[in-house]
Amino acid sequence: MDEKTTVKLVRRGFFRVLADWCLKFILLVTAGGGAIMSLSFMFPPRKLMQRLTGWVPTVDNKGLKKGEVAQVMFNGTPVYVLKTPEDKLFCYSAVCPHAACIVQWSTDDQHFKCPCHESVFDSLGNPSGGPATEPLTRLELKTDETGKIFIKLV
Amino acid sequence: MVTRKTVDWFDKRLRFKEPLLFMMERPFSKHATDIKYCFGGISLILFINQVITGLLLSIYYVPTPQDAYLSIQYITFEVSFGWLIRAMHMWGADLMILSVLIHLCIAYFKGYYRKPLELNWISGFTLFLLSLGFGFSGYLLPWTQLSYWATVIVTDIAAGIPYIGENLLLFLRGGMTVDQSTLIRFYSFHTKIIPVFSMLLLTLHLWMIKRRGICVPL
Repeated sequence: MDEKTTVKLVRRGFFRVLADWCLKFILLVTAGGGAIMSLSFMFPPRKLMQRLTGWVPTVDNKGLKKGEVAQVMFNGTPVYVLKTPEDKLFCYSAVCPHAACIVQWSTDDQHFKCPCHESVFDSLGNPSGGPATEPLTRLELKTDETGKIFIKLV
Repeated sequence: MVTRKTVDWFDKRLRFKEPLLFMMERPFSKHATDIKYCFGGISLILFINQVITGLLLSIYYVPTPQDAYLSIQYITFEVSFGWLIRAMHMWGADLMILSVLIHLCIAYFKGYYRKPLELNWISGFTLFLLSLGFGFSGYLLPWTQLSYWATVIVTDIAAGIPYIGENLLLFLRGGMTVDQSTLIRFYSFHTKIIPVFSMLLLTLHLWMIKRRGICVPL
């Protein structure tokens, strides 16, 4: 607006001005509320973002063969429960310490192999080839009286 | 002022002021406040509502027989304001069909298909058919017993049309039965094919009113 227009508020004009401001307020609240609700709709629900921690149940000890692994998903990343041929149980996070790919268990030569950069880890989780220098992250593990294997997530 | 300078800077390059003023400066007929002549605008507002809520719903909806119903449940009970967005889409759909129908009836009984409104009538009636197409294709998407069997019945009715019925049935179902291929097909109709055509026709429908001006009631 170039020229300023002044409108004298007369008595009969009061409700007209009031209705005008009420309409503007309603429009603003509707637009703002709609924008906020639409934005919060686009984010996933809060309870999906909670991380699982502490002792959690995985697989049965009896169902696990010697020299094989069971893969279980927790918090979006897989975890391996490994039973060695000597009947010992280990639990490793499947995330490769080199570049965070998911390693695969090879039953034939009893090693974990990473598909991204060909790092190799033995059944104790130690690196034995490829660019990885750190061992796989080991998780605490216990078996209850029914043979269920529990692991401790941190 | 800074804003005026900015606006002018953009206007020198985009030349948007002239067409924008053309859209905004609109001589209102004395009938503009008559409820009889508001149903076109109401339909447009409801259509915009359907576009916005539909785009939001498409973030979570999964068009497969295994996940369609689950994703609807997820939207309704887990996502924040999902119940509201879904209800707005559902009620908006019903109200839009109603409002379009009233708009059509008024246009018909007032004779708004006569010269120079023939193309407005044709585009408007096609838009009405497209609205019914929206309703028909959207009804299947929740993949409930009701929507499934409604689609079976309606496509069977289409099969009863002489000569073209069997091909029409195959076109609608994408196979012999209502299954995955029907669901993805209806999803595509509902969210891609019909919206493109209805938005083109709607632009034409409104553009003609702008160019010619609203006719005084004949």
